[in-house]
Amino acid sequence: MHDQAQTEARCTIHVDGQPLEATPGEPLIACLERHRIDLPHLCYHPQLGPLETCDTCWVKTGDGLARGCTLQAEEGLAIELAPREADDARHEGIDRVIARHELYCSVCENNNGNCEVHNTVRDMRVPGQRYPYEAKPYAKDTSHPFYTYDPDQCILCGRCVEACQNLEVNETLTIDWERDHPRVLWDGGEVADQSSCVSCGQCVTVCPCNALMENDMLGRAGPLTAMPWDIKRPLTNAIKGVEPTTGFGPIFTLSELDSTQRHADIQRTKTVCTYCGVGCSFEMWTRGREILKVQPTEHGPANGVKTCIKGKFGWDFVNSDKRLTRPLIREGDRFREADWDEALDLVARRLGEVRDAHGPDALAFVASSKCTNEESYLTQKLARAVIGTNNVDNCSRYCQNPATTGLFRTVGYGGDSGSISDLEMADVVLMVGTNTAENHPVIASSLKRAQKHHGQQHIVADVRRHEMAERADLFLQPRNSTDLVWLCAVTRYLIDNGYADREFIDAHVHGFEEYRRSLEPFTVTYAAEITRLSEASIIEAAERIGRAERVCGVWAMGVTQHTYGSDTSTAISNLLLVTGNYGRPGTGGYPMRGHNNVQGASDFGSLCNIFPGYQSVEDPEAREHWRRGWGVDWLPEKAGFNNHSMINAVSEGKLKAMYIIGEESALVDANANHVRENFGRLDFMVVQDIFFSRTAEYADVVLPAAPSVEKEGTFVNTERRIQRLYQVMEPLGDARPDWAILADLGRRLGHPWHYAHPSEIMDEVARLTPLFAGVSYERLEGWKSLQWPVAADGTDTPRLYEDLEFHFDDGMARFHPLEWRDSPERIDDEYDLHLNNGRVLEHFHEGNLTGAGRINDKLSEVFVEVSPELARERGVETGSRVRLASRRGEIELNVLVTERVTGHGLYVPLHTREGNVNRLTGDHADVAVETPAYKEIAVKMDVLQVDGPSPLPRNNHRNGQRIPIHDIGVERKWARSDYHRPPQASTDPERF
Amino acid sequence: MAQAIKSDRVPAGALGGKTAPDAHDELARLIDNLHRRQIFRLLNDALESLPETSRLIAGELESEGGVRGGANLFVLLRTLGRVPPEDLQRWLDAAARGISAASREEAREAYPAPGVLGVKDLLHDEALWHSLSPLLEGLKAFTGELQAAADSSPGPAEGSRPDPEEGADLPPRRAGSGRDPQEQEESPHRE
Ligand code: SF4
Ligand code: SF4
Ligand code: SF4
Ligand code: FES
Repeated sequence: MHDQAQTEARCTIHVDGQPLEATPGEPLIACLERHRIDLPHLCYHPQLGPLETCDTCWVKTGDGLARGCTLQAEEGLAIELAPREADDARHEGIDRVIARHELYCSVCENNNGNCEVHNTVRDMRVPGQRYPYEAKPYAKDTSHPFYTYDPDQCILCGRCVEACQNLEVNETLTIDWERDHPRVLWDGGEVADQSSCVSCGQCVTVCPCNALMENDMLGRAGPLTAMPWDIKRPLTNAIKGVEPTTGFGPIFTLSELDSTQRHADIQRTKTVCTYCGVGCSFEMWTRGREILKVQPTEHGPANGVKTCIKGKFGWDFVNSDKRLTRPLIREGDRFREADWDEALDLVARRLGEVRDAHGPDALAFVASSKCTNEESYLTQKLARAVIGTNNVDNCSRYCQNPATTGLFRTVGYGGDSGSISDLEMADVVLMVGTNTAENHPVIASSLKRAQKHHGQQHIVADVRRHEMAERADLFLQPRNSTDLVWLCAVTRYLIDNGYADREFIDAHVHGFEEYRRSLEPFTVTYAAEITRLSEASIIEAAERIGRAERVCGVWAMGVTQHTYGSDTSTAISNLLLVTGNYGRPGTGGYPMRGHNNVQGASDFGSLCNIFPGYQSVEDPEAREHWRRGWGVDWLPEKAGFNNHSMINAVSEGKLKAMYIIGEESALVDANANHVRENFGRLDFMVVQDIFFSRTAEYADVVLPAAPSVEKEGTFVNTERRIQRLYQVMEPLGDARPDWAILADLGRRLGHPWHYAHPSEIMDEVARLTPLFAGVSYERLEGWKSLQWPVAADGTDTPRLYEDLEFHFDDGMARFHPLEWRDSPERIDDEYDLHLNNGRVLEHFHEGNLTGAGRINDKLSEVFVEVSPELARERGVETGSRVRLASRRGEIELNVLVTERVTGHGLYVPLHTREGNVNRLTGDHADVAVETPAYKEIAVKMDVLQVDGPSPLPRNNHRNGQRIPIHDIGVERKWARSDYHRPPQASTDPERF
Repeated sequence: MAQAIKSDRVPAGALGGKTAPDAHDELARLIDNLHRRQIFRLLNDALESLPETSRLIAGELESEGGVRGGANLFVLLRTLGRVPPEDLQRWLDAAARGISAASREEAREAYPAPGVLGVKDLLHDEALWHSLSPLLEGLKAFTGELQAAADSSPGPAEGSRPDPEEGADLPPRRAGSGRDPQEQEESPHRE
């Protein structure tokens, strides 16, 4: 059956009379490439499609000449590349390209073997300059902190515009085809830095030449590129003078030598982004520790050529002079340097002493979701098998556990049901409490593209009008903490109006009748009253969902960080079950995982109640399995303290020692004042981090660890995709990879942890964990990835529940009845404002990483967003200084007046220590899994000063004005009277 | 109760580290390359087996020209150390052809100065240009050889088209995709 389907999907095309096998619909260029037939192409890019600007790809068809990039394989397609007119047309095209682009390759930053202009001219054997090159009447745009645009080198291929408009969908770039000298524009103007550009770098990544270059490459790429232009220019002129006589040949020989030398000099290493859960992978180009650029390729399984500002440009922290590079030991009121032996011996001795004096449960471990899977595994193994406690947790407690709980209750696996490709395929995407465009930017791009070009509908529910809300087909702005109510009302409406998929429910889901009864209170009228949404909007949401063939639910911290976050997550999953939206392409539930490896940290066991692969620590069989696997006498039987309850356990005297890895607990845990007080009460505390964090201030021993680029390992992204990261550079100073520190400590505590490489740790996990049975470093080689569960033979699972077998013993999903309760954090006359908080695009969390570099040029300060209504009411304006006080503490901030918030709602980003919002958050937490209810804060606002400078720099993208266009508008170029279709000679080749 | 210790009480030596190579690192790298590519062994063998020569070489190395020559040699060796042997073979073959072309008497005579195309304007020196012409002829042959050697799979898109007015006499061109062959074939991660 499968074979037959494959045969049916083939066709034959003819190229210069030669039959070639092809897949119907396959782009001609890709097909020819597969058959190793070169057809020149410059503007075409597999992820952007045909742009039809470069005119180098002409082929002859039955209807005359056609641009090869526009053709797709189909039975009967016959083209010719060889005829003279096609060849002439291609050469006319490339001659025009080099009339716009000066070939000074040996002094060019892009001569690294992948300059497509250079390579095309070389491969087409262009003998020399036919049309003279002419400079443009524009200066280089060097305004942007991360990239430079050089109009003199721009071939107007339009790739950058297409990437910005339709891949990233930020809609900053356009080309003004009508100008005398067309050029790329930012928000219609000529200054990149003062535009809506979000610095995703995708335009730079896809530019085929040096017209858009990363600033870090400038002057640093090759042996001759460091020369200043006042030397490069005469040299280039001299060479250009010789060139008409010699042709391009000898000059290209020199530049090929130069490029070969650079190839040896610049390392290109595949790694995975250290920031968010999208899991973008890319090559990092380095010379020693110098990071020259981040270059995503079309092979990245989650992102292709996409990135956001953090993944593309957010690496200054790696070489920060604030990096910890020596172990530190507390001595009186200061720290002193120590060597590893002394520090680790001390840690081993003190951990042993605390255990002997107070028992193993007096110790607790916090794993990091920035660390690798292998490191998460070793952390929990250290806690369980070496110390003997289940007091181990990771920061998914702060964010993700309620979402996982919602999925555990209903469908079984605590992970996204499908892949990013499923999100792209959906007809309707329901986004609840997710600021996707800022927190998962690359996934947001996929969704924005599906909406812009494929008719996908977006229903966005959020208390704040962020970018996804602005772009939504339907935007719901409910009162805070009431999502459960309208979700249940929508579900009830769907059932009442015949939109429930009864066949699916009867065959695959338990508990429908009880669930249906639980929905009785949730009429549309009741929901409108509680949520303050209009009845019509609730009905419209339901109708859109009910009528759609494929629906995905996407949610994030706006759902989970509430007292009833697990319940709201469950409500989303219930809704998807009612409408049969699981197991098919383009359907499913997608909690957006925050950190790069927050999924993996839990998957690999750093949770207080589960072993790796989600086996309960309270299950005797699982315990026996792991006891034998680890070769220890016993394992603790009861679930341990979680991140949040650990702090209370310290204050109650139950916890005496903590070992905290890569977690800024002193800032990120709710009620920060209380947390810090309790750190001071510990008998012994170890902090393992790459920076001297606020948490480290309380430590007895501080151990310098290595960031992702200084070690090997694997991460799991939000799609359950396991990807390998390779070591880009050696650890800085005496820092060590976390896995190596933990393994060393394990040995000092008497266990035979002789792991020589993280792959050996992964082999152990695969041997002991059915969920990862077939995972190995060989299967993850290079760009390869595996989405769990992975069977022993290596078969992975891009989409869960495809066979409609849910992850319960009987294979049936479950409805989980719910009731609504309001948040315990009351808005009253004194604390009369609701404070929301979260990340911003430019920074990650508390800014430890992103705050260490040039991203600060775009945004450094934390501010409080105030609605225009409230600003009027309180007499504040952008730049005013205010004090926000909650029932726990207070902070002072500058005001930014914006329509992103409404009424009495405020928003504070997280990215600095000074404006730390966790001085305001409280102890109230999700009732099921104790995730702090960070999003439920009642505050009052006092005005300290009215006038002041705006906290938002002028060059921040939020001040820009996007210019959305559907495509790059090449027809406007063709419509010019001075455009002559090749092979006709051009009259003004230097213009476009 | 443990008090917080602020970062100003952390010894400076425990923070930051060397993030860029200094001259010593570069020298160490050069020595390492020379060693890994067996260049040192070659030199040592030569020095050991030929005491007479080594005395001569040692004397020469002391001279000013020797020092300069040594520096140049190091640069050359360092570059050669990174060139894959098959490429070197191609270059050497091509260079041999280039040298023979450059030494042909007719190259000296027949090569016209570029005149109208600007080089003359640039150089203002007919004689200098004449002395350069064999080198250019050599470079042309070198390049032609290099491209011929690289051209192992002729694509179907070959065609002919008038050369630009004063273009050089190059092998027939073929359509090219402009892709980086090294990039396509290389594994994406580092070995
Ligand atoms: S947003 Fe900025 S960096 Fe991203 S593609 Fe557009 S112009 Fe380029
Ligand atoms: S700047 Fe844009 S239009 Fe210009 S060459 Fe680069 S990708 Fe093409
Ligand atoms: S932060 Fe997220 S979206 Fe941005 S590059 Fe990294 S993984 Fe991709
Ligand atoms: S690749 Fe076809 S026109 Fe550019």
